[in-house]
Amino acid sequence: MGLATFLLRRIIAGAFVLLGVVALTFVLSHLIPGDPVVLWLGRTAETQPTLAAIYVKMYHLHDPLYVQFFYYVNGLLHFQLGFSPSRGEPVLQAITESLPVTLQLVFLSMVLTTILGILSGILSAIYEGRLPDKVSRGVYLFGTASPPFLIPLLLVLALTYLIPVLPSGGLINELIPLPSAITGFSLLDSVIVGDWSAFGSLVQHMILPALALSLASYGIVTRVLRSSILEVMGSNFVRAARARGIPERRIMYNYAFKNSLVELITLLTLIFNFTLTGDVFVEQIFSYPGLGRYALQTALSSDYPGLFGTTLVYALFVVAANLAADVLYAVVDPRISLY
Amino acid sequence: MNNRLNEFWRLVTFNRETKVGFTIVAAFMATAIVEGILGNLILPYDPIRTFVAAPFSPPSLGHPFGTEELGRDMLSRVIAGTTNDAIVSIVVIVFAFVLGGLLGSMAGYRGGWIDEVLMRITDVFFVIPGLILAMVIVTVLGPSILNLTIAIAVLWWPPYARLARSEALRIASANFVESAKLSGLSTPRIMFRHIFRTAMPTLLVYATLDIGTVVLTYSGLAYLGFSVSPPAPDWGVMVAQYEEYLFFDPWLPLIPAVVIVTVVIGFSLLGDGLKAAMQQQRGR
Amino acid sequence: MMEELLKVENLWVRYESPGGKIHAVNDVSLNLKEKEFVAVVGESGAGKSTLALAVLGLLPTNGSTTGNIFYEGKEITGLGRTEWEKFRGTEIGMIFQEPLSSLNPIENVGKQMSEALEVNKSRIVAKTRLYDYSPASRVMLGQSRLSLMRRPRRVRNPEVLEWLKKVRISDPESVVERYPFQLSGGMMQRVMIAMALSLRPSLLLADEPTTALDVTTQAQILKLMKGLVEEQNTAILLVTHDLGVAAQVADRVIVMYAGDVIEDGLVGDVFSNPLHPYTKALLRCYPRSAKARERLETLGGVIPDLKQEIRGCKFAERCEYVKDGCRAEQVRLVEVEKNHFARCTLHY
Repeated sequence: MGLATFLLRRIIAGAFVLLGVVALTFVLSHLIPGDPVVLWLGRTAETQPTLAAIYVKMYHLHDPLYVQFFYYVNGLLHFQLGFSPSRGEPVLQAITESLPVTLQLVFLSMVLTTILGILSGILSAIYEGRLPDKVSRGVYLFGTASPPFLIPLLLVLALTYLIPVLPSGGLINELIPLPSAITGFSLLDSVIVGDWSAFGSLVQHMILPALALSLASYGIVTRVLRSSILEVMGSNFVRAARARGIPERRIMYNYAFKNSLVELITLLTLIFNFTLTGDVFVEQIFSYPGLGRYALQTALSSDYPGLFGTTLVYALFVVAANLAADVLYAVVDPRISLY
Repeated sequence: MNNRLNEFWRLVTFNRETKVGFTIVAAFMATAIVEGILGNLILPYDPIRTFVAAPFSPPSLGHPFGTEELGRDMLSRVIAGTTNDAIVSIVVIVFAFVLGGLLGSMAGYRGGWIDEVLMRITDVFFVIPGLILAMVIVTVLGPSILNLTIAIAVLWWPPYARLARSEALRIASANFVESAKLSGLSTPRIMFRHIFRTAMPTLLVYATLDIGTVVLTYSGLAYLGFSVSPPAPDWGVMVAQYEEYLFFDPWLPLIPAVVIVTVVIGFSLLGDGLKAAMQQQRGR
Repeated sequence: MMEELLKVENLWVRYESPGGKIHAVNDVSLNLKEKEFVAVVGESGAGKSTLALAVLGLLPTNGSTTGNIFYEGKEITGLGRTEWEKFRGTEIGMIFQEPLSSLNPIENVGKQMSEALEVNKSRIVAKTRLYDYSPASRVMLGQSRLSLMRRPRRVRNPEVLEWLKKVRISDPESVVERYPFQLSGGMMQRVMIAMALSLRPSLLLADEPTTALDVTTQAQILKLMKGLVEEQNTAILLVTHDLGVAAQVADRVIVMYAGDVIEDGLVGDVFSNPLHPYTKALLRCYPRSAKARERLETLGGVIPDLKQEIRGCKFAERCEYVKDGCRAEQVRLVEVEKNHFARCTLHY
């Protein structure tokens, strides 16, 4: 019972925050000098006056601000995100094309980060002060101090040129057509349809970008987990557990690791944000057609509908990720939901 | 005065790592200041003048960082680029520190609706990835280094507000604040002298670690094209400018990038050392 | 049958600290017989907790020991990790001052009790067969009232429920489901005692188990512990700063000061005839209900800095009987009357 109300409260809080984001984008969009229609349609506002007129009516662009806001939110709830001049298609379409690509990449990279981070975190704790620990500190320092373009560039140099094993860009080999969109996620689709050459090529093109994202951030996971484990291993209840004859192995896992999970979840949420940022650079360098690259495109070409649309989508995903973290917290630590 | 200096020196030379960090940071700051004041005079070559030597020369004695596509000296360019990152990061941090620190202290101390409003506002900022928000703001304002600084500053203050708020909450319940209130000190006075000042060390350590992050954010956005344009000397811009030569003349895009890493590691080491030094002080 | 269950011989314990070496325990020797209830009494810093931790090898990493500890005649100082894992819990058990910080906060109480039993199963079985304990503890108690679907199997371990009943917990089925933060201090400490004793140790070390509890609960827990000594054939070494506690339950009392044993004797002897000035002073500090308006006595001064090596008697600073000879050299522990020892020049 405690769990359901807990989650409900978090969902409502999330909705309010999203409303705040919507308000922010609305305010920002009105800071831009010029006729709003031109902003929202770009040059097509002049070439297609009828379309422009429809827009003005739909969004009440000549009415007072609060009216506009109402219609803006209304439009959002009906998935009306406007038209993206830099792509020549509706924003919604651009997003639905590029979002799954990014999600696949980010998901893969988060999995990699978590696995690498947990393994090296446990190792660093066990071998505290010795070589594995020092190496992990070095990785952490370098990873967190690298500008977001450095690791991708190094990987491109090393693994596509010096030792040419992986492709340097693109979603998939140009010669292989994408599988038909069933779920929208090309990896899943290729598996469902049984198109293994597409699947293979997709994976091949995903490795470097995902690796670039993970290498930068797994160092943090390592250090946090390491210090958390070490702290727990020195705590009173671990001492009491030893006094009961519980073996070290079991203490490591059941006591130290499990009690570090809460911290780990918080960290992963932070890393999710960090990864979304790094993703923009990775997609740029690897010409990966995801949401990050689209967002950049819209910013560089002053495509405001696209830009604000992607901002909202990003915010939506961060809120969703936070909710997922809340669920995980409740599962891992009973104190959180039972309070 | 002398006491403060001693204290400072002790903190900064806490252990070997901290010393390394401090050296790097000091070199960074010194270069930026000198270059900012004296300009191109101190540089071996003019960073913008073309063909001071054969283009695409790898690093050598005469040109320790090599030369670029139009024969410009890379060392001069890299040194010249120091000022941009230094100024942007200092401005952003000071702004975030002051605005965030004050708002947060006030919210934490007074509570009530001020607190609620601040929390909701910072919530909105936390939910949009920083890079995206910066991109939006700088696009709205128009790409330039000033607007980029504003954009980064705007998204930078919420964490400071949150930190200051939690510090204020922690401190406000301490005894010495109670006695200050009882002795009739007015609110702004309490806030400044007691709360803000007590929260300062924690905020300062965070800020030190954070300067490096601003450098990363700024250089990243500069790389993407939101700052000045080539051939202006700026680390992020240079990496983008020379990216096409990554395979054949890798030093061109990589040296500025490595310089960035070094500077940021310097701030990290220094910040970590400060944190450890202060923890030890408190633990006693 | 070993007469001496636990024998500590010339134990020294030192802690490394940034300020220097802390001499926590100095040349302590003591014996404990089967089913004996011994209280180790002293103020904070006397070294009594350190002594208990040293017996089980649970000192923190900055602690080092010299000397020997024997259990049932076998040396247990310097055991390896796997040997300790087999030994702890089933031979010598320990309960701590803060029951809340003795359990994993994220698992329920029943699961942890089952875990302790599970992990030590083979050794418990071996022991119980050896000593032929009450078959009652093996009896299946029948299905509990709990919903069968949602509970993990282990929690329904009947042995766990049986032990909780033994420590006078009236509703074990619901307690077993609870998480540590949901139980009161007194309840938690009973659980800890149950958990410790369920592993059938011959010796239970108790480090200030009642200090964090209110006086009424304290009395209940002490009574419980005393009762269990008989029932379970377990000896108890109780560490406490409270002489009153020692008086209530112990057979023998050992008084420690600044890392030294300064008095050791049967409770009756020590309380009726305290030999060491410190013990005398401690006894005087207790309010006597008879005289209503008497001023409460205190003992002035503080324990000496444990980082320093001190010549002679450590209590000399605060002692009312101090003489020159007290500070000259190390004072020896002397058997003043039968089985009653004291470390004081008064009894040379």
